[in-house]
Amino acid sequence: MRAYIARRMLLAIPTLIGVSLLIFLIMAVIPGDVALAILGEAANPETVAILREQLGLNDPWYQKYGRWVRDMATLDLGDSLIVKGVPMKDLIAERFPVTLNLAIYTMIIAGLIGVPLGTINAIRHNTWVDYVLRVFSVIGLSVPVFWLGLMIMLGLVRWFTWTPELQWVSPFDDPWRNLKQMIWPALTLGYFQVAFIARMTRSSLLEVMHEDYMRTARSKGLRERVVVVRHGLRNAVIPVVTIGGLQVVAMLGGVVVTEKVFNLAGWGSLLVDGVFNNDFPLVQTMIFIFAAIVIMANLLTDILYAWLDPRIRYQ
Amino acid sequence: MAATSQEAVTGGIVTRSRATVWRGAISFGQKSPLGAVAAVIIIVLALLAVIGPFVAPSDPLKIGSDKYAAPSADYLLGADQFGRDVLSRILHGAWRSLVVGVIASISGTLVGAVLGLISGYYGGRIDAITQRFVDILMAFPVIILALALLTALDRSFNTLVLAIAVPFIPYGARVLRANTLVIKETPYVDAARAIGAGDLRIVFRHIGPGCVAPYLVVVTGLIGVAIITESALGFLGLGIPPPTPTWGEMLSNALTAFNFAPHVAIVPGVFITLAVFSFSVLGDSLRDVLDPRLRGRT
Repeated sequence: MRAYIARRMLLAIPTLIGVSLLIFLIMAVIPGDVALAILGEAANPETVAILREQLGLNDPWYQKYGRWVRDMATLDLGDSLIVKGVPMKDLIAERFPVTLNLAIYTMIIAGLIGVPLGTINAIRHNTWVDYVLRVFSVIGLSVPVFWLGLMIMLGLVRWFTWTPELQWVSPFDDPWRNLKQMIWPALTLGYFQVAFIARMTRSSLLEVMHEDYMRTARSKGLRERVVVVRHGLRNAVIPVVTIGGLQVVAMLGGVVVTEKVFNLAGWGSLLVDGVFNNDFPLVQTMIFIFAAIVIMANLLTDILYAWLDPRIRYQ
Repeated sequence: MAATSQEAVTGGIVTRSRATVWRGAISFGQKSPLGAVAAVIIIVLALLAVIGPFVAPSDPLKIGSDKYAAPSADYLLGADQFGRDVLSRILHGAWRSLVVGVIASISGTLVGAVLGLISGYYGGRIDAITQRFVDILMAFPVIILALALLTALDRSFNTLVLAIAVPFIPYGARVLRANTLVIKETPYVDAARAIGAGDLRIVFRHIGPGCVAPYLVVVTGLIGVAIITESALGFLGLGIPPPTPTWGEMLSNALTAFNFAPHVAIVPGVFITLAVFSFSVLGDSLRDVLDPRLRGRT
């Protein structure tokens, strides 16, 4: 097991390097210029030239890349261009809890609703319950996240005279208000995940339903519920866990638009703000962080999978 | 090389007679009624995209005085922030939104498909390098990579398609590689090699056609993802520059207006959802029907 983890971690390193190089490459072809973004379009060309020199924008690409990697490693990212005078690192740190909060609620919703839904779906295979739940899943996979968010907000504002909080309320300060604020964005983002997990659970459970050990359990005289939950679900849930882990990538994509819709100041909206304010250093770093989270999540998923299913380790 | 592979990929279908295609369509409808419904919706949407610009009640770019007018006899689906007719914009935007989805999905996965074929067939170092490249692209959420590419490129129809296509490369590569690994070991590939077929011929003539079914499934599913991504970029204000209508671009003002002019947010979203729903259902049905391993299972 230890060797397996070590091997997987080693494989993650070149991926991380590749990701950073790719982002750097994409950002390098941007026609705009950080110096111009700082000083504004109307700036004196000489001042811009001096700032370009100071910022090291005239250096060769490998020096610039090296500096970026060093800055990220030492967490010294310089000042942000969006909020003048605030170090980028503080801005990123300040917005982290909002996104974390949203992600945790979303994952709780996905697990708590998705797995039972998929189980019911599989047990009631080929009945009307199955069809209704399947349509519910397919719609969840088809509705654009941000549009669902807009529709939920529309409903809340129209019928419940709901007004969104202007700022994020920490769950440690006021758990109830935090829940009221975050439940809607989490449900918005969670619908896709619920649909996905439910579908996976359904097909995975249907696959194990006819296994020998299920028949054995039934012939022992166990109640059907015990057979399904103890013997079926336990085995069926392994691929669901792993595919659920790989869904982090979809969730992070959804975070960007969901935060915009619900006016949450998290990482997603920070990235979008960065794009609109031509804050390329911020955009570059944020994209790297998102990709790094995905790589870490996939790594953890692989390890979890190997731990749950020992056959994987020896492949 | 791209042309050769395309020929090989579609070759198996093109050569069938028309009667077989009809019979195929009918048997598909019987096996998967929901998939048939989805296919019909897609055909209707495609027709809408083609004839839409000719039947649109007014000019989609014409600025009117009735800002945010609610749906009425004059504006069947209401008017937007510039008093432009929403229905006309939907009809004019349809082909762009659908074409972005279809081209981005086909081109991205096709590049991936070629990578996957080569990677799976040759194995070894080529495979290792390709797989690392695929891993790197897979680390980005689709919308974030598209956003990064659009930040770097000028915003236009072509760059939008490119920005959505690139994140799809790994999806095509993974599926084709997995299938190539299986097909490469089959006796008919051995037979082809025994009669002296070259690598290129084996890959595109014998292995490629065997991958058509899984490839079609991936492409169909990703068309939906591409349409969603286009709409999300449009919503963020990063899609096709205004005033050209696409369904995504039409949502760029949705967040400001959804409360007092809900139709501005609702209408494009309904069309997007309908399109995405149809493509993902069709993708699923195709998989059920085409994938022999799933045949007979529900």
